[in-house]
Amino acid sequence: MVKVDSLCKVYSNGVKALKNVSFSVKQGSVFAVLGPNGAGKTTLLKCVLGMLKPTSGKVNVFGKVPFPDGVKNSSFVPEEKSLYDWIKISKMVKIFASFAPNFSFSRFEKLSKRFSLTENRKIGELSQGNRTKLYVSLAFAQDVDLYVLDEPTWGLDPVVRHEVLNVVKESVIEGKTVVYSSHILSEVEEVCDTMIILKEGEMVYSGTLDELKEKKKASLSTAFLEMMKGDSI
Amino acid sequence: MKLYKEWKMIEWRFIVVLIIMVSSAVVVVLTRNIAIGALNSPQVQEYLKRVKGISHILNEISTNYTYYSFTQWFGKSYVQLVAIFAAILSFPAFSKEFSKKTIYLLAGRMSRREIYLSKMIVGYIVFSVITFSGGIGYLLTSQIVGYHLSFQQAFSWTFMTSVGGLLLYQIGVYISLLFKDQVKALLLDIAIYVGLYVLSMIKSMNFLNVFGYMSRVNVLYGKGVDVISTLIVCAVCAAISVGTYFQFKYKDL
Repeated sequence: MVKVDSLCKVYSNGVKALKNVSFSVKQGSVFAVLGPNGAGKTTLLKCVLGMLKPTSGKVNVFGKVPFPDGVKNSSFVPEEKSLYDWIKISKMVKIFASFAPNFSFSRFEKLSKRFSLTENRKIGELSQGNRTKLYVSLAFAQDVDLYVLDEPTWGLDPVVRHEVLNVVKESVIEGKTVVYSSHILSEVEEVCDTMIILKEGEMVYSGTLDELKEKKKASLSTAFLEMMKGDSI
Repeated sequence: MKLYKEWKMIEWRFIVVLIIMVSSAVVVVLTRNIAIGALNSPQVQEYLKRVKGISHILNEISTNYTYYSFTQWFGKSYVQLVAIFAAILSFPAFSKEFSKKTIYLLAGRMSRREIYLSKMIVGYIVFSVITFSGGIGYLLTSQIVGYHLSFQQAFSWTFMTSVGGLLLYQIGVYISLLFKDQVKALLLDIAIYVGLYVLSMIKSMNFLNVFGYMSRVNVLYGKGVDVISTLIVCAVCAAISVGTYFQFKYKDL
């Protein structure tokens, strides 16, 4: 479904954001992208969605090269949960529905209730947590095959965070694929099937969570910290 | 076509700009008598006796309504307003989506072609309605008040100003694609408009005079739309539009 082969991305200012990254994502699974700040997680997700042009290497999603036309059958939650600040939530939903493929208002209603998003205030007046709730509700109200989530629980309280993870798990049961990036190792541990770990643009691990734990004989957080210090698998 | 979002983004700016455009046209028509009264006041007449050449022009403004319309509206305020509105409506087209990072909301769901076309179609329609409202609003107000202005002349100025305005709008959209900072986009926009005007004063650069095209003096002497110039302006506008599209299509978001 998603296949990335020897992907390199160098920005115009010379920053090498990704160095030779390769992996594939199976349909109906949660694929996690882990790494510290500046590791290249967001760059990788944007390359997968065709928002950035790879400097070299190949990206293939649903059998097509995503750059420059993007991936139609996908929904994206970016790192910055930016919406149009001057409009109210109800209007934002209407606007979003006008251009987002396969959007369902009833699905949005259900999700927003689950995430306790009941107000109808202007988006600019919402807290970071409520913005994230709204963005995730909008994204999952789309019935698409691929969800790409960059820090989807940013600013959420533990109760709503748990609910978002449940939605991710339910999507996978429905046969959807989720590519998930997060700093929070415990939640990645809860939902992911396979993952890669990035450090300064390089892929330092690719495989399943269980394989990692077995190889390192440690928990995910301990293994992650060791890899960030420079230990190899 | 997914135009609803773009319409909602521009809706209030459109309403405000439309009101300013139409009310400006109405004010210029309705203040004609006040302007003529001022020109005929003893103090001004006394002054004009000492300044050679200008009295003929002012006399023409007082007696010839078509000349008044050209000097006070179609050849002056109308073109200035269209240029200002071209900048106001075009500078946020892409730069706002980049600076506020809402481009990911769109690009995660629409192809770049859809994003570009929806912005351009809504922008062109809105801008054309505004420019035509200025010209047609002036003509209609003149008719209602009882001043005679030829439809053909008013239409020719309106049409050419609209076409020239679309070129300025298209330049503004291209600039908005280059900057993530809205202020920089607006400032460069204004600098290019001023630059076009200043450069066109040099004889060899006269072809850059978009504002001269928009307010063609020939129309005053009974000529209609300048077809050749209109085709050239349209071709340049189309070329910039295609260039803007490809710039956007292959841009890192």
